[in-house]
Amino acid sequence: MESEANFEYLKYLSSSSDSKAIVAELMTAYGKDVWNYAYSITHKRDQADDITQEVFLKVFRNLYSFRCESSVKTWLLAITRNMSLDYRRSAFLRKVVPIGFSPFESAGASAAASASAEEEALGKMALSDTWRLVLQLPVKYREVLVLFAHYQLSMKEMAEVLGVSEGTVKSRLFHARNKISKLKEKKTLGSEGQ
Amino acid sequence: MDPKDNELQKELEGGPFGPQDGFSEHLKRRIEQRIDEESQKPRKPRVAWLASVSAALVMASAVIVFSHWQSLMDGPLAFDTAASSTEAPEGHPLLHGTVQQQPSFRAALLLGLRTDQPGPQPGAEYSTYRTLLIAPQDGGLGKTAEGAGILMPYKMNFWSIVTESHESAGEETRTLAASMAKAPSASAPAAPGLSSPAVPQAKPVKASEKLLFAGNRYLTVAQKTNEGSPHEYVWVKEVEQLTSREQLSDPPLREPHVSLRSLFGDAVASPAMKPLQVRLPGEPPSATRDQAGESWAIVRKQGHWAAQAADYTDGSRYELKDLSLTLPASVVAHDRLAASWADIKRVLPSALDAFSSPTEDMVAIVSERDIAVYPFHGGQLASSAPLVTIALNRSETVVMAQWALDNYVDEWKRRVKGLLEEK
Repeated sequence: MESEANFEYLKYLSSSSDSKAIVAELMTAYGKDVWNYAYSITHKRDQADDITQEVFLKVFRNLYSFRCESSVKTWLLAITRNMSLDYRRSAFLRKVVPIGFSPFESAGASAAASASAEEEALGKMALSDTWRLVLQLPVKYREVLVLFAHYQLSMKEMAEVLGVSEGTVKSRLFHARNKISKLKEKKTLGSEGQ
Repeated sequence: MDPKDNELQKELEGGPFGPQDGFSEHLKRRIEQRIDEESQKPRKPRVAWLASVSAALVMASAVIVFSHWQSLMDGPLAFDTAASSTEAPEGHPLLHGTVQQQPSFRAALLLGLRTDQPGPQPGAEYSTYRTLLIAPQDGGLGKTAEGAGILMPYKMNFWSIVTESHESAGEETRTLAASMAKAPSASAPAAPGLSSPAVPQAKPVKASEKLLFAGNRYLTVAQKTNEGSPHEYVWVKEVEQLTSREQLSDPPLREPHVSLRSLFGDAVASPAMKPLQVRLPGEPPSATRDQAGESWAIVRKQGHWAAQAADYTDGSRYELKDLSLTLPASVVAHDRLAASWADIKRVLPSALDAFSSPTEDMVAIVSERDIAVYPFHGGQLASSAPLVTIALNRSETVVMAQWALDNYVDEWKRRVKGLLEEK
């Protein structure tokens, strides 16, 4: 991937490297990926904004800790995931359950209704049909599907981002595919997914 | 691949909002602004909703560091606790007597040096350059690579700065050019002046350049033109502005350069320049004084790099004047001298300048004759014989000092050795 080749130099940073310029380049190359992933986990635009900011701030502070055991992209997505999950946990601990969480995690909420309310609140932003269905999945299936189908990571890379074994990735992907197929079927048959 | 997977990938190829970008320019600017703010403050836990976790980790780290006096960072430990001894290891006593443990080093120093040479005729003076790497070796420090020219780390790779000689109508122009460094090849002819001290040709020199400073991405270049009446100029340039060319810009202000205004903003540059009332290069005496800091230089003062503005009141030459500005980290990183000047003078009375590693484990002391590198641990400068001594040529000066830390030391040792022409 061209972006990966362009960031090969991260392995050879010196303490005098221009961290700000490097982070600016990383944002240009991966800002959208980070934001989309944060959004796919939190399903809230402002939270995705905050998380994206914190991810690149963390990258700025820890640029020299990139150990080059993984690609730059998987490194950034792993940070994004951890940041997003921490954000969700802290929101949960504050007894705030943001709109847009999966119905499996926000008791009593209709995921479809949440998604529609989110769309309306956002005005002109329109999620594609498939993205709407994906965002209805529980987070652990949602994120593996996003990493697989949107980011097109390998099993090994997904395992690195998620911090689980490749076996677990395969299992979650299997279940995620099944669930999304069922949601699509239900949609085709005319009923909104639950 | 399962056709359903293909379908999924196609449907999710775009982001949740398709072409509408969640990562907006506004967000990008907001993040850049936060980074600017952060880079001007000392680092501390910033994320409110992770503050408690971060604080706990910092506290735990502080306790461990205090009780065991060893680094938590990856890489070699600052002290080898397994080899503790009440006797100082031979050759490495600290100032106050015995040392408990054998010090190890977590940094490497890439030095760029310039020697000014007299030319075969007046106006034909020239400069030669060399780069060398001082890095951990065999439990101590050593010079692990050396070669002609300047090799500087920049963004994606190491870049070479060489002097190019261009001939036209029986006259020679010597300009500096920067390009991504490549390993010297036995089959490829050496670039002019790259492999050995440039042997000046017996031709009139129309114009020449020499390097005064090379840092993160900025360089200071001094120019001299001999066409008509001789003139001298000085510019700060970005590395990528140093392109191969056969002549200098005319008028001089057309020369690609970085002004103080572009670096610091007008709110900082203008108040710093105004009291100096400097004249712009190539402008008549009646012209408005330079408020933007078009012509300036990054120069070496004892223990640190400093900014100076160039005043062309003389007309043909410039005079450098001190600026009340601190160079930002984007220009010069790690410019703090860890050892006190009193300690440095005590170890080497003839010291003229010094550089210390960001890891505060070594100090390179520059005198007229050599650069001597001493261990530095626990805030103390070792008074024993230096671990490495680099003999300096007459009138040889340091134009570049770049540091590699921890994991990057080995990478630099490998790559720099491959890129520099071995002597």
